[in-house]
Amino acid sequence: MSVAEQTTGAGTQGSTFGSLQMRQVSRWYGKTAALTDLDLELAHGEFVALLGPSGCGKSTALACLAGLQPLTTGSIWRDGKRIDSLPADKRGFGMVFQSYALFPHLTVARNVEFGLSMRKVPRAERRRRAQAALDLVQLADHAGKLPSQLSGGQQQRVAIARALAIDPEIVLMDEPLSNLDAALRIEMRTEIKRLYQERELSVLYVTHDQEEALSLATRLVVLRGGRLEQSGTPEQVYTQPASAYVAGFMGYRNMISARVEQVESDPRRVCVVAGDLWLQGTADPAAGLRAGSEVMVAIRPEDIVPGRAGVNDVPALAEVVEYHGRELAVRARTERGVVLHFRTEKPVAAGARVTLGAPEERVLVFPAEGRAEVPDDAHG
Amino acid sequence: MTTADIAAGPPPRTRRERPTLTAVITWVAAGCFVAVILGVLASVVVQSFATTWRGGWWPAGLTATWYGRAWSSTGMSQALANTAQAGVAVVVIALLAGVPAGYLLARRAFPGRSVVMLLMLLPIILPPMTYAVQLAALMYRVGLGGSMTAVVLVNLVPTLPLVVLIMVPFVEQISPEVENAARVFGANNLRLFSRVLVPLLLPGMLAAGILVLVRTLGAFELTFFVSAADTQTLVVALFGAISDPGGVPGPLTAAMAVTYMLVAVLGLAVSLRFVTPSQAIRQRHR
Ligand SMILES: Nc1ncnc2c1ncn2[C@@H]1O[C@H](COP(=O)(O)OP(=O)(O)OP(=O)(O)O)[C@@H](O)[C@H]1O
Ligand SMILES: [Mg+2]
Repeated sequence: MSVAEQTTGAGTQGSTFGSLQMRQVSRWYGKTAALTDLDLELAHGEFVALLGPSGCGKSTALACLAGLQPLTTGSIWRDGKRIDSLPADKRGFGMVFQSYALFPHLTVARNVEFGLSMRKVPRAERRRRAQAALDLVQLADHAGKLPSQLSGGQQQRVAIARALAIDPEIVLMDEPLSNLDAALRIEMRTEIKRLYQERELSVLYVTHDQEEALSLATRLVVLRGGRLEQSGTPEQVYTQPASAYVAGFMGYRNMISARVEQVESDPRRVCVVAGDLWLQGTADPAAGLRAGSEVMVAIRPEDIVPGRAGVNDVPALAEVVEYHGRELAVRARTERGVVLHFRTEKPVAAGARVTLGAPEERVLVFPAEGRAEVPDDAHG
Repeated sequence: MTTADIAAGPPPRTRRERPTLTAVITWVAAGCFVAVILGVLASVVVQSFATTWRGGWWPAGLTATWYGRAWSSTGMSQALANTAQAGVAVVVIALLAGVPAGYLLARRAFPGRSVVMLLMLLPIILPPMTYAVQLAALMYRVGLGGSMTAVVLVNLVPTLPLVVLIMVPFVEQISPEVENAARVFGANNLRLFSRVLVPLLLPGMLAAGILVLVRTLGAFELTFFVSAADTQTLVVALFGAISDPGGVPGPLTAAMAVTYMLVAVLGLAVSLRFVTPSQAIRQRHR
């Protein structure tokens, strides 16, 4: 074995990681842009969730960071050193691929050991660490199988084990729980969070799932068409989405087209009309709304309270009632046909008349824009 | 009858299908074909053991001496050694150059890719006779005429594109994400190739290797025009013996032909031993 071979594959092991940054990165596929001027930072100990609808460039961003896709413009920095020409095998990241990308000719155990054997970890230790990683994802019994002999969810867990076995400082995960059943997904989620805390990992985590993002992340980044739409703590993004687009992603199921009737003396307070719905809402003064502006009103189902709330009261007819265990999810319609979704713990029957209200600070008003990109499945 | 009765009854016997006319014709034709081939082969084998055989169903007497004579008199051992040497060299070189070339052709999109693929087909589908003479002339021009190098080089002309064309679909079926995963987890180019690509491409490489070997063993025209007496392969030696006006005895050439067949069958059997893709993959596991 040559000396050169000995030193390769070790990656950047040993050095402690401070921060990883994408600066003004664009990535073009032919004539279409997958990423445009994207700034993204992952600091030591951060758990960043990358959110956005299908095709918005999440996987491309991960591939660029990992060195698997060349940048069209922009740069990538790690602790003040520019690394965008550093080959992928020298970056030392752990990665869970969206398509799993397991090695079809290697057993589950060998798949998990792969990164370790590239790092010249002695065989006994390799075995031990692979075993531990497989225990973590509850696949110890399947170590001798080939990937093709596993179910989709099992393959996905092998991919997670493979990424964690190398004990990386930085982990990139592309929808790592997308193929698991509800119970296992929550269990794995907790497991990932535990590892993140115990091993001081820094994680960049792609997901479609608002709940997953909120429960895991220390920071959320929402992408839109390859651009950064909003970045902030889960609470910021959840309670103060920057746009109707982000709101649609964060569980604001009621997205109502409306028109501004009046802007109060406090420019944050606006009064909007949609059909027979007259609402006092909250807007960002920077949006520059004026009377007559077309707007999008976003309200979370949890924020609509049945029974007179005193503000924004409107009578409606309960149309569809779904039983969700502790509470009911109800779709109601006002007399002039505005559909409202709300949740309640009190019994409501389909066809019942209800009066709905919402506190004005929870009625968010955004300038109108195309809503086409907001996917339906983004609601929690 | 109740459902319980049905369930408890004997399993339904699969009905025997009546053969269709097409099936009968196909089987009869295939049977005739195989019979003719076996007949010809058998007659060659019998002749190689014959003392004399002039008409009739069976030679006058049987002897094994022709094999001894073939071995000693006609440079058979030399031809055999040449064949083995050329076969191994062509297979190794064709694989070493053809596999990476096939990889690049499968993975990189470049203008004129389909033209390149088409050009590669040419030496494979053209009868070697159409370019064998010119190729030999070229070899003599550069001073390689009659050498073993020349024999190997001319045999690479149709076999190298063959390897490339066989490898392209094998490469295409490997997901690029799998390669990406290997890189992310620390594999440099060399390791990517040796630990991921070669094991995954092994079935294709074995298949390509066998076809190259078969083609090289049987390549008469190509080898004939460039080889000299001491570099000729078995087929060429065989042709020389058959067409010798001095009249080499029939049984002697038959003995040579049988030797040739044995070499070919042996080579094929050894190769096929490894070629089953599932087997090839399974061998990589503990
Ligand atoms: N190899 C490629 N060639 C051409 N276009 C591509 C390629 N890979 C991705 N794209 C395009 O780039 C855009 C971003 O793709 P990307 O895979 O990053 O989306 P994503 O956000 O990960 O989506 P999803 O949530 O569905 O995985 C898409 O419009 C896609 O069509
Ligand atoms: Mg993706």
